[in-house]
Amino acid sequence: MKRFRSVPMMLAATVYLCWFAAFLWLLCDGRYMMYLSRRLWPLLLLGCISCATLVIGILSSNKIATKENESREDLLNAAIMLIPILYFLLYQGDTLGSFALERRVVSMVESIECSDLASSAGDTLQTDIYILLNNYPSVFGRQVVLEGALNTSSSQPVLYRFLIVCCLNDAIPKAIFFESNCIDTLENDVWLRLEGTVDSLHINGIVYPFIRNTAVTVLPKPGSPYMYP
Amino acid sequence: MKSSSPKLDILFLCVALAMLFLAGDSPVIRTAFLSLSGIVLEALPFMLIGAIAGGLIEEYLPESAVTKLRYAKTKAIMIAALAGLVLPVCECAVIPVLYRLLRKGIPPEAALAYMLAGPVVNPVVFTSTLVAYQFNPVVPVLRVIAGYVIAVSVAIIVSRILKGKIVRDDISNPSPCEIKGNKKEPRIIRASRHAAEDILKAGKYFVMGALFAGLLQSAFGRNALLSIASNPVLAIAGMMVLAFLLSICADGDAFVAASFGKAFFPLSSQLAFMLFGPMLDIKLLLMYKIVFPWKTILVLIPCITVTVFLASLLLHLLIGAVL
Repeated sequence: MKRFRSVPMMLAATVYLCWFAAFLWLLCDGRYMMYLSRRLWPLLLLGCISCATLVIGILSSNKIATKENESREDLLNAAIMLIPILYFLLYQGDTLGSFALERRVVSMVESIECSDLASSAGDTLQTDIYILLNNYPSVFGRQVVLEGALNTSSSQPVLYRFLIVCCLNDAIPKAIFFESNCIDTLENDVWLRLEGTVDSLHINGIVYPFIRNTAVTVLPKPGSPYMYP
Repeated sequence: MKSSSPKLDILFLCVALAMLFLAGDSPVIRTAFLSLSGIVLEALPFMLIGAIAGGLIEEYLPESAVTKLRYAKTKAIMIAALAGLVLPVCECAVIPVLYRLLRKGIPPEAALAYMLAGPVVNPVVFTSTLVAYQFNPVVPVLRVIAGYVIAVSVAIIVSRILKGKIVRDDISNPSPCEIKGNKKEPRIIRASRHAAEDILKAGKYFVMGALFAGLLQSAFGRNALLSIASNPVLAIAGMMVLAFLLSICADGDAFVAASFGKAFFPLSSQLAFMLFGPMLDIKLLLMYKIVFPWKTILVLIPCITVTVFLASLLLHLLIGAVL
């Protein structure tokens, strides 16, 4: 039997084929972690399967052609649906930076409500900003190694990283103040490794976490700059 | 599904492409597109599943089964608002399912109640809220109870105001040829074709809404709200506006709300953020057009806004001191 596939249906098949390829590429490459939480990879798999199902359904269909104006509308719909894929292709290494940090913070560094902090002992701890802030009392006084990006827009330099809970739209900046004399020449968003002691900083009676006596190393921007809970 | 004006679509497409190719170096634009990609990658798979479920409903769910579900209006609303407990989908996936359910004859007010309550009254959102608030059960419990009460109240109010004329005419009275389709094809093929058509039309509104949300998120600094945080009335209103602008998925919004900190913003305002966002935001406003006429949307907006505001204020007055 000869099949007549309508223009809108062929456009739809093209869109789903493109999205199938995009989901697969982002998943296989691990690139999805630049936009989504690490644990949400099954979503992309689900997207691949759904798109493949729809393409197979369309190609097996024999719906007759529709009106010309419907085709025009569907062409526009298809083009709009492909905008995000165009972005993935054009700006592959793009990440949230200082601009997003300044837009998304309520206060640059979250204050702490701890009193009577006792110094803890132990070897140098390699950690990330999110874990450090969540376990601040237990790492107080300890030597730590942290990596993140630099921001110098507040009175004290901060090291920050974004925490992706679900996707980039809900990514929350996590930042910590640190002291250093050798960052004057560095620009915002330069990636740094800090080695220093976890301490506290008092500003206008409010206590903030702080890294004291910091040794700073400039690093290249990592492939996965985000933190995940 | 009826479409919006092609002129507006062309305008949107041209502006989006110009932003992508000509203004790609602007931090506002790049941050907006980063937000857009996050929203789309997270929600599109859910929308695809929702559309496939909708296609299967269209082909396999007999209308007699829907007729059996026709309880009295208020009872239908109260039951439908709990459907998220067994069908836990986010607000974007709900629209394609609703579209097909409405065509099958499900009562519009019940569909409205599910649409509003589903993204809040569900186990996934309960768990994410619990984790975001460091396993303090008070916040997720309050969120679910308040979300249910608000959804039921809004559905009842809207159905009273509009006297049952809630959904678009082309959904409540689909043309006979539209319903029959091509009967020579196997049902499963017809179901996937319905899904393909639905996503192509709904996806447009979704991408538009996601880009607007990304642009507003980039243009608007959250610390601007600090000046109003000490006043509970203004804080609640401010957080509702923020929820509308940011269009964050219900699964992740609790983490953003929690980041505002109890020290700065009262918990009632954070609850307002978590109650309002899943019911009304920029992306949803555009997607609602798929099932509702503008008249319904214009009634929905103030109803949701006032009900969420009053509920949050009441929570603040009743238990604000404890929280």
